[in-house]
This record gives sequence, C-alpha cells and structure tokens, in this order.
Amino acid sequence: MNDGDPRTPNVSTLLGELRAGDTSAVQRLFPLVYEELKRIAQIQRQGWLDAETLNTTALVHETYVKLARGREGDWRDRAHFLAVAATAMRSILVDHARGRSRAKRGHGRAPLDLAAIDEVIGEPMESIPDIDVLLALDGALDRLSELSERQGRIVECRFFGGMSVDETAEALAISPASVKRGWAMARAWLYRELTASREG
Amino acid sequence: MTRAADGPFDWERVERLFDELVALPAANRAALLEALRSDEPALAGELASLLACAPLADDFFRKLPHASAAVAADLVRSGSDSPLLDRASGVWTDDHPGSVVAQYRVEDQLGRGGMGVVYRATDTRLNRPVALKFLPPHHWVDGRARERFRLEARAAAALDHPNICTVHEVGETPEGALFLAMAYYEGETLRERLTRGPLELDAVVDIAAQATSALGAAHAHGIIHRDVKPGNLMVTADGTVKLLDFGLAQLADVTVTASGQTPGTIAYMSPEQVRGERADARSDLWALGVVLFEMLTDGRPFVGDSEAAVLHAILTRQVDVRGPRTGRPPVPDDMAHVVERLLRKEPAERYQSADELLDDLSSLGRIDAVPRRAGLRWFRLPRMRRVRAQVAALVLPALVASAIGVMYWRQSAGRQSPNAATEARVASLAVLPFKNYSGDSTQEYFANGMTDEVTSTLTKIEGLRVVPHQSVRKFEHSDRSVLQIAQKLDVRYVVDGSVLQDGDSIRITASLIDVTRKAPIGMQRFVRGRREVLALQHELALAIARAVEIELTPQDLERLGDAPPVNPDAFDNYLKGTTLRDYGTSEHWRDMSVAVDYFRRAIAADSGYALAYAGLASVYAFSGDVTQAREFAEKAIGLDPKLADPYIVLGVLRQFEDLDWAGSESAFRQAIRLNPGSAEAYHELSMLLMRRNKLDQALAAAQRALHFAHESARFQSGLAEVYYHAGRYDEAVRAAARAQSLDPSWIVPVGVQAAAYGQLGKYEEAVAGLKKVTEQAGGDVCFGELGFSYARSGQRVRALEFLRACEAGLKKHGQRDPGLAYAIAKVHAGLGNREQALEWLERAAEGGPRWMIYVRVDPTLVSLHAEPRFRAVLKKMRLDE
Repeated sequence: MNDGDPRTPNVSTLLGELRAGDTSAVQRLFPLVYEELKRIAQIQRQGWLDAETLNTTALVHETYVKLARGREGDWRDRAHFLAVAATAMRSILVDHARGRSRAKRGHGRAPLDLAAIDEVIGEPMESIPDIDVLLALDGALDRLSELSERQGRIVECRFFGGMSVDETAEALAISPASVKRGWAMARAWLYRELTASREG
Repeated sequence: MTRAADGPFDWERVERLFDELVALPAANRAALLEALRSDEPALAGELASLLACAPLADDFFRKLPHASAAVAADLVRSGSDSPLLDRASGVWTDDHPGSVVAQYRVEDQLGRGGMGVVYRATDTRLNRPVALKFLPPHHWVDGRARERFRLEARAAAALDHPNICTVHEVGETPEGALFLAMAYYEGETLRERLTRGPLELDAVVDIAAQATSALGAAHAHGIIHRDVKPGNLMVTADGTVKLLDFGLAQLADVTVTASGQTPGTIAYMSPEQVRGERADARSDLWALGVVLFEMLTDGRPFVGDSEAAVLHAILTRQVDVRGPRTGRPPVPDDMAHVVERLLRKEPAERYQSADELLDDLSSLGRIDAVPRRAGLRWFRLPRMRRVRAQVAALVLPALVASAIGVMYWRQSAGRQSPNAATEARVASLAVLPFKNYSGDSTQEYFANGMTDEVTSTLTKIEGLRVVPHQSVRKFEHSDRSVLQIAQKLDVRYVVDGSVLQDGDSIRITASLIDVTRKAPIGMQRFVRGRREVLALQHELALAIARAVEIELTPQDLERLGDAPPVNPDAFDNYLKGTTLRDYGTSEHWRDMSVAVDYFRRAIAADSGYALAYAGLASVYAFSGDVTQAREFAEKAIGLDPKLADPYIVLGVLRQFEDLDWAGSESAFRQAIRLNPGSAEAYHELSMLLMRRNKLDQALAAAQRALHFAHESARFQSGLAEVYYHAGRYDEAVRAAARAQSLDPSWIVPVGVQAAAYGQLGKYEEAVAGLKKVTEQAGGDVCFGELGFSYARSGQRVRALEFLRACEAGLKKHGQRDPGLAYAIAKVHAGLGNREQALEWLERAAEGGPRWMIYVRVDPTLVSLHAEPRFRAVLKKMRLDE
C-alpha cells in the first residue's frame, strides 16, 4: 500500500479530492480507471466470463473494488468513482466500436433502422449492428451533452456506469429528483435523435 | 449548462414540463399541450414529440444494455488494443503501484523526464528490485523506432561493466508500451548532486574516470551512448558511478536537429551532432567534457538565451574553463587541459578513445588509491609516484570513502529501501468434486474421475497450492457451505463445477470463487470432444491459473506437456478403475480386483495408454504383488515419462524390495519434479528419509505434504512418525493427537502416540494405547512396543507374558514370521537382554527387508546401536551410511 508517501496519491485520496471539488483529480483518476478496466477485461478475455455478453456494470463496480483496495470509503466516494469509471467505460466501448466500424465500412454513421435494432438486440453474437447502435448512441449523447451537460452526464452514469439514482445524484451533486427527471427526458430525446433522420 | 438548441428553448424548462406532462393521463396531457400551443407553439411541438417518444424510449433503453454488453464482449474476445493513453494526454499514469508488468510488480515512481517514467519494481521471479523505465507513448507506435530501440537495448544489455547500469530486459506490455527493466540502484544522479553544491576535485576526477571507463567498455562493443549527461550518471551509495540509459538516445533520431532532442540535452550535443553528422565515440567524450566542465565550474560551457543561441555557441564559442569564478577555486591547469581537449570542435583533435582519456585522468594524480574493483584498468600509476601512492593508499581510501559517503549518500526521506524479501506469489485452491449433471447415477464415476484428473493436472503448476482430491473428498457429503469448506481447507480459491458427457463431447462448467471476497470471479464452460479430454483439462487448468493471476513458468508448461488425443473407451475404463481404487467400498480386495479389470480393459482399448498401466501399478503395489507393480510402473513410465505416480510406486518398491534407498529417494524426487504439488510424493519421501535417518529432511518433507493438505490424518500421522523416530516424543504425541482428531476411526496414529508415550516414560498411556491398537488389529498381532513398554516400566511379568504370546504366534504362523521376530527383538531390548535381542533381530532380517526398514531409527533398539552385530544388520539392510 502506498499509505505513507504523499507523492504517490492513491485512489482514496483522489476521491477525497474529487469530493472536495478538485476536478483535476478526474484527470488523474481517468487513466487509472481506464487501465484497470482494460486489465480486468484482459483477465476475463482468458475465458472466465460467458463470452456472449459482458456485464459492463459489474465490470465498473469490480474496478472500484480493486482500485479502492479494501479502503472502500463510504458509498459517496464510490459514487464519485463510478461516475468517472462510467466515462472511462464509455470511452473504451466507443473506441472499440469505432475501430470495428472503420474496419468494416468507412466513416459516418447511418441512422438506425428500428426494426433492425429489435432483431438485433436479441441476437448479440453478430456484433456488427451492436457496434452501430453504440456508435450512434455515442454521437447522440455528444449532441445531448452540448444541449445539457447535466443530462449527458446522467446518461453516462446510469447507462454506462449502472449507477443508481442516488449514486448519480451524489456524483453529480444534484438532487435525486433531478436525476429522475433528467434521465426520463434524456431517454426520450436520445431515442428521437437516433431514429429521426430518415424524415429529413 | 444550457444552450438553445434548435431554437430558444430553456432546457430546464422543457425538462420540468416534460416531467409534469409525462405523469399525466393522456386526456389531461393533451389539454395542457393545447393550452401551451397557443402561446408557445414551438415549445409545445417539442414537448409533444418528446412525449410521443417516451414509451418507445423506455423500451429501447431497457434492451440497449445488450448492445453495450455485446460490444464489450466483442472487445474482450478480440483482444483489441486501442492505444491506451490517447485520452490520457500521452503521459503514463501518475500512479501505478501494485500493477504487474510481466513478472514485475510496480512499487512506486522514482521520477519522470522527457524520455519516460521510471518506477521502482520488484522482479517477482528473482526476488530482486529493478527499475522499470517506460518509454513515452509517442515512441510506441513507430515500428522502426521500436526495432532500433530493441536492438540497441539488447546490445546494451550485453555490456557487463561495473560502471554501466545493468539492463535485464526489454519488454513490451500488452498495450504496446515499451519498457526497460534495469538493475535498481540506490543513489542519486549527478544532476541531483550538482544542485546541492560543488564537488571536491578528487571526486570530480573519480567520477569522470568511472564514467570514462563505462564509455570505454561500450565503445569497445561498438555502442555509442549519445546521451551522456549528469542526469544519466548515477552515483550509488558506495561511490560507484553507473551510466544509465544506453540505447535510449537512439530513439530520438539524432540526425534531426534540436527539436528532436529531449529538452535540456542540447547542451551536451557535440558540434558534429549539431551539424547533423553521425555521432561516434568521440561525441560521447565531448558530452563527458561538458559534464566535467559542469562539475568543475558550476556552470555550462555553452549557454544562450535560446536553443539556437546554445547551438551556435557549441559550434563557435571557445570554451573558458580556466577563467576565474566567484566563490570557486580556480580549476587546476592539468584538469583544464583535459576539459579543453575534450571540447575541441574538431573530433580529430579530441581524445580519440576512452582509454586515452583514462590515461590522462589517472595521471592527474588526484586519486592514488588502489582500484576499487577488479576489471578496472585505470590505475596505472607512473613509476615515480609509487612510493607516495603506497603511503597514501593507507590513508586515502578512508578519506575518499567517507567523503564520498557524505557527498553521495542519498537523502532517502520518505523512501523505503528496496525490500527483496517478497515471495513469489502462490495461489491456493481446491477443486470441489464436480457434480454429475447427466441425470444418470452410473455416471458418478465420470464426475469423480474428472475432478481427480483436473486436480492432478493443476498440481503440475508450481504457482498453485492445490489441495489433494482425497482431502477435498472428505467434505463431499458434509453440509457445510463452499466458503466454510474453503476455510477448513485453507484455500483462497475454489473451483466449483459440473461435468457432463453429452454424446461425443464432454462439457465442464466451472465457477472460480474467490473466498476472501466471497464472490465468484467468473464462470466458464469448456466443451471438447471425448477424444480431447486431455486438452480440456489443460484448458481448464490454464484458465484457472490465469484467473488467479499465476503465471506459468516454462517448467510448468514442460510438465503439462502436450495433450494428445485419447481413446475414449480407454479413458472411461481408466476413470472407473481409479474411482474404485480410491473411493471403493469397504470390500477392498474385491474393489481392487475389479479396478484391475477396468484398467485392463482400458489397455485393451488402447495398448499404449500409460495412465492405465500406472493404475495397475498402484493397485498391485497396494496389494503387495511386487513384480507386477514394478513391471507396470516401468511400462507406464516408458510410455509417458511425465507421469509422476509410477515413480511413487517405484520409490516404495525400491525400499521394501530392493533396499535401494538412494534409488527410492531419487524416484520420489522425480515424482516431485514432475508434480510439484504432489502431497503424496512428499509424504512418501518423508517416510523414506525418516527410515534413512535423515530426520531434518524428513521433517521438512512431511511438513510440505501437510502444507498442501493439513486436514489429512495420514500426513499428520506421518509427521507424528517422523517426530517419534527423531526422538521428539512430545511433538509426536501432539501430532498424533491431531491426526486422531482428523480421523477418529483410524487406528495408526493411536499406535504412534502410544509408542511415543512409551518413550516418554508414560507407560500407562502407552500400554492403554497399544492395547487398543492390538484389539483393533484383530488381537493377533504383536506390537513390540507394547512388550517394550512393559519391560521398561518394570512390569517384567507382563513383558514375559507378552513374549510368550509372540512365540506362540510364531509357532502358529511358522517359525519364519519376521514381523513377530522383530517384535520379540524389541521386547528383549527393553528387558536388557542384548544377546537375545540381537539374535531375534538377525532372524527378522533374514525374513527380508519389509519389516526391517525402521531398524535404523527405531527408538526401542537404541540400546543396541553400539553392538557390532547390530551394525552388521544395518549393513545388511544397507542402512549403514
């Protein structure tokens, strides 16, 4: 453990700083999380999870446990951590999806065919359509964030981080009621965004 | 943050309205929207479309996690490596502790610079501290750069010189990060030292000489350092200079101008490098000249307001080392001369080689001490100085040493010294009996057999401490939870699975549970055709090892070997055989003969099936058919030299039949080499060593067996035996008691304990215990220890009675029962009748080795040890080493 040495901040210290409002701590936490997620994914790559789907929420929570290393502060610390991890998770997935997408077809994302989604969601093996879905979501989320950063963050926390309403509220320093409202509207907005383009 | 999107919408207002409206029944909602439409049609339109989407959106988002899960799974499956740190601004994470890179565990960060970050780490394989230097990410992707780096680093690693930082290896993480693993030195760089103040002249020359020596060695191998500077010279606590970072300067393409260099190093560029020409050995010497200048004058030879100005100065300015400086003594002429010669603009005018420079440095006469290390050629003192040198040699080392100690000792505030006492990691695990999911109870043998085979495979991996299946088996029908069982077995991980034969394939589903976290790490299905059952076992074993983060060594892989296809019928019959052999009913002998039948059927299906022969060997060894046991053991080994169990059989046979003690020991050790996790092999080894009177080793081996299975009554009893024969009777009593508590129905530890009591003089307990054993054994057997105890406790009458009973037994079984003869010998020994004791001992010895294997260490015979006839018996048993 790197308890004594102030020059090597550990996750708990960073979380403390996050809570105290030091947003640069996010910068420092991000690569840690990113890397831990990759590392877990690698271990699990060896086949220890059912290879058809990977529960990303569990992965995010797993990361927290590992990085917090037994000093799992209170649930509020965890909430802040998860929020960052959610962002990291989104990046990882989107990075990968983009890479795949580029390999298959060039740039640009065609808008989604709803029927295709319906078919596809029950059939995760051929992941090409899932990649499209994820990329489209990512793009739409970016656009949402421009309009409302708060809603964008809520979606990240709830969807990519699997965080509860209370955890999201804590992490974003808003009320749970705000979270619920924001989540409801964000979903509607995103759905509309994802499916609207055909109509010109 | 809200901003108008497609119109001047106040986002928060929209959100609030949406929230209100979405909860309303349709009719009310429509009414409100209508009302809004007349005032703010755009807003109403926006809300209407959002509300229309709401229910569909809910549905969509409920299903959506599958998409991200699928992408995640795809990522994991494909093992894609997106450049890890694009988003992290191209700089390695600040905090890396505890991360593992190859076999290194990162401890803390030592520093960072333009050429990357350095961490202190521990090489977990060799238990030593190392320094890991990671290259910055922008170096990772250029293929040519990487190749150059590797070549250079490899060359540098080949250098072996006391003043060159030893490079252990060049590595690459899965993310593509390049790193060097180097020896870790406690000390400080010259740069750090210089910031603290001026150096004594002697120290300056000493450092220069050591650095020159290093360069000389490198140049002799054709390696140019290219980045000599104070930051790359480390001085360790005892004053040794280490030149660091060979091979790294190659990364920055040196033909590029200053912008290709890391900041701060242009000061050390030679004119030819500035001009873009090739650097050679003399360029390194130039840089050393700059360093020397800095050490002497506390300033730089070529300065300027900008990079360009510095470069210009390098090309054109004459170096001024002799000029007066405030607060500093002037540089002596001879040293100034060296510096000036090093800093000649034309390479041809400088020292042409490190050796040349060394000559001059040593003739400075500043350090007259004897060379600190062999291999340093640098002290060839001119003849005339020798006398002075000899006197000085007495005095100076102390001075120099203490001066160096004062100047170079690192202030290690807050830093711990490298601790090499960390052990390589071992993960402990137990494989719970696989459940039989076929619904067919006749398939039980398959589930049991597969459990044992998988466990056996895992014992070949040294980094795992695997509980033997017999020990796990004890909990099969207990009502304890998995976690409780794990705690009893003292393991960190548990494999909990099921097995199913389905047509032509075998399917194992296994969960790996982390006991300390009380949670599963994961679950996996392994499916293979029946012919590939070995490959299946390997796959499972490797997956387990990886999941518990144990890396396989080359020896592990060697032991695991190939997994050639298997004849399914042979395998099936083999499993039936082993199941019966290991977990049969109480009708032992019948079970054994049925087991033999199964093994033979296995051989009929596949005449080259080594495991079946091994099975036969074990059964025949158990039943005492020595010839067949040996034959089949050797056959098994001949077919597959990686099988450990036949060696165990051989080891036992060689003792009991051949008196080949050395051969027995080597057989057990071979078994251990083949299966480092074989508790059985350690147990048998401990028994052998005990009989050979190698009691310390025996103890170690017995404890090792227990290390794997401390719930094993058999191994505890074995430990008790070793203590007993080693004369440590109190410990024997305790160990035997533990064995009894682990298995109250097993009588052997009772006997061992009783014998130990006898030696302790606790004759009541001894007699009681031995009587109990005698009863259980059928009343017909004679335990010499019982008679011995009678004798020693002064119960002469009883002792004689005992003797008579034994002799009667002899008459019954024919005069040649060596076991009885041996027992009688012990009683006589206890009575003090040495002649008779020896006589009976000799008679027992004639009966063959089986009863005599303890004779060397048997406490009851200690009184005979001095007798020549006793020694003759030992010699006959080949125990007279």
